[in-house]
Amino acid sequence: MTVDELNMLVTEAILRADALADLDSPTAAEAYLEVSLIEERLAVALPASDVEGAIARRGAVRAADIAGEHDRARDLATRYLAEEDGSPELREEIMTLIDERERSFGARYPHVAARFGLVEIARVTRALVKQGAPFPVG
Amino acid sequence: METVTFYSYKGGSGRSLLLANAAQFLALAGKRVVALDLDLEAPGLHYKLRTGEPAQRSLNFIPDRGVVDYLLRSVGTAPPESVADYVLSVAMPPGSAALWLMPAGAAPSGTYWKGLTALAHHGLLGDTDSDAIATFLELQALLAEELQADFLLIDARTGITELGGIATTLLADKVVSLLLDNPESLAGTRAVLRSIAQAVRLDDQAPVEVIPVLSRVREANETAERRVISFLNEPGASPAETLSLHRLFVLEDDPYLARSEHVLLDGSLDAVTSALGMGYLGVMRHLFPSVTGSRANVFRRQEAVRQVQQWLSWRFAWGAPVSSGAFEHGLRVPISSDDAYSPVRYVDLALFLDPSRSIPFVVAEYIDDPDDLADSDAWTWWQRNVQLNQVVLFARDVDGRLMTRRFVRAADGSLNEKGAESG
Repeated sequence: MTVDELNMLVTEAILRADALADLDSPTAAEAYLEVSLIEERLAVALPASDVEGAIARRGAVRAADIAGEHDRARDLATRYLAEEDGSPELREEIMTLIDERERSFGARYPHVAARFGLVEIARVTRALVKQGAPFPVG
Repeated sequence: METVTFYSYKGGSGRSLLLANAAQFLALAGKRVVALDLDLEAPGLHYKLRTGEPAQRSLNFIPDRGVVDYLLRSVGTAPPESVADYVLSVAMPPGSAALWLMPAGAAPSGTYWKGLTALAHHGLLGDTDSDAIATFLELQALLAEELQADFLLIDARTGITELGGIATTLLADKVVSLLLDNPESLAGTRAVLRSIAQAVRLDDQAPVEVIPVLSRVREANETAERRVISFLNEPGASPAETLSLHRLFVLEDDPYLARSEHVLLDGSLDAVTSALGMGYLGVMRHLFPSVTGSRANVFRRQEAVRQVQQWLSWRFAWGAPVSSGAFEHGLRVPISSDDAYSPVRYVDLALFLDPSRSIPFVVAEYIDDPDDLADSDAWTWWQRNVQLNQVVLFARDVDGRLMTRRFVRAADGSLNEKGAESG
C-alpha cells in the first residue's frame, strides 16, 4: 500500500473513530485502534525526521492510548523514542503523552497503579472485552 | 487481606446468610472483617449484619449510603480517598475484632434505585472498561488499607452479570458457590464454575479456589452428594474447562433460620448441635484454616449465651418459658434511657418484655476472662438506665462452668447484686 493510500485510509479512519466517539459508541475504541494500526504503517514508510513521519508516530501512540491499548501505546512510544532521527520535540511529545496517561491513572487509582499498573489493567480489560461476556464463554 | 466471594447461580440458596455467618465467625475469632454488598440489584446484607444501634434494629432500617454512593462519587473523577463514610460498624461483643459492613446503599428506596440507574448509565456497574475494573480494585485496596481488614467477604449478584464476573474472577481469592439440587441450578452453576476456572486474572493473582456448597438439603444423603459432585466434575469440551472439585459441602435446610434470616454463629444458638450450624462450621474450617484454633473460644461464648438465655427464659416464665422471640442477640443498648444522645454499650443478650422493644428488661454481658467477672463494674454503667430491671454478667470458669453475677433494681432505683451464682 502506498503512502497516499495509507493517508486516505487514515483520514477516513480518524473521521469514523471521532464520529463513533461522539455517539458514545462501544465500537469507538476499536475504531481508534484501527487508526493506530494505519498510523503505525505510515510510520514504517516515513522516517521520523520527516514531518509526516513525526505526525504518524504521534498519531499511532495517541490513538492506541485512546483505544485503551495502553501497553501498545507504550511499546510504540518506546520504539519511536529509540529512533535516532526523531526530533527532540517529537520525543518530548511522545514522553508527555505516555507520562500524562500514567500519571492521571496513578492519581485516580493510586493503589491499583502501584500494585498492577495501567498496562496490566489494560491487558485484563482487553481480555474481558474480547471474551464478550462477564464470564469466559467455552 | 484475603477476599472470599459468595456466589450463587440462582437465588434462595442462603448465600448472604452464609456470608453473614462467616463474617461473625471470623470477627469472634479475632479477625478483622469487611462484608461488601455487591448484590446491588437486590441488596440485603444490612438485614443480616446489623449495627445494633437502637434506630437500626428496626425492620425499616435503611443505611445512609454505601457502594452505589461510593461509585457515584467516582464518576469521571478519582474514587473517594476514604471509605469511612460508606461503612457501618456491626455490633460485636467486646474482645471480638472489628466487623464492618459496606452496604449497597440506601436500599430499598427511590433514591437508591435512581442512583443505580445513573451508575448503569455511566458504565460503572462492572462494564469491561479500565475505569470500572480499576474502580473496584481500588475500592478493594482501600478497604484493606484503611480498615486493616484480614478478610473481605463479598456478596455477589446471582446469575450472569458484569459485576458478578468481576467479583468472582478479579476480586476473589476464593469463591464459595452455593447451589441447589435441581437441574437449572446444577447446570447453571457448573457452567459458571467452568468459566471461573478459565477466567483472566491479574499479574500476581493465583488461580481462584472454588468451594461448592450444596444448600437447603432436606436430609444429608451421601448418594445425592456423590451424584452432584460427579455432575460438576463431568468432562467438559476441553481439559481446561473440566472441573476437579474434591469436596462438596452440604448445608441442611432449616426453615426457621431461612425465615428469620438468623445468623447462627453469633452466639445466639447452639451451632454445635444444629445440623445447619455444623454445616456452616464445616465450610468455615475449610475456608479459614488459620482461624480454626480460635473456634474453642467462639463455642465457649456461644454455649454460655445459650445457657443464660435458657436460664432467663425460665426465670421470667411465670409458668411457661419466655419465647425465644423475646430475646435479641448482639445489640447496642443506650446507657441512659432519658438522654437521646446517650452512649451505647454492647450486650450479648437482651430480654424484652414490652412489645415496643425500646428498652430491654434484662441485659446480659459475657466477660471473656472469668477472673474479671468479680471485678467487673459493667453494671455501674447500667445504673443510669432506670428502665432496665436487671443486669447479668456471665463468664465461663476454667472448667467450663457458667458463672453469673446478677444485679436487680431496687425500689430506690439502685442496682444491687443478688449474690454470685455458678453451675
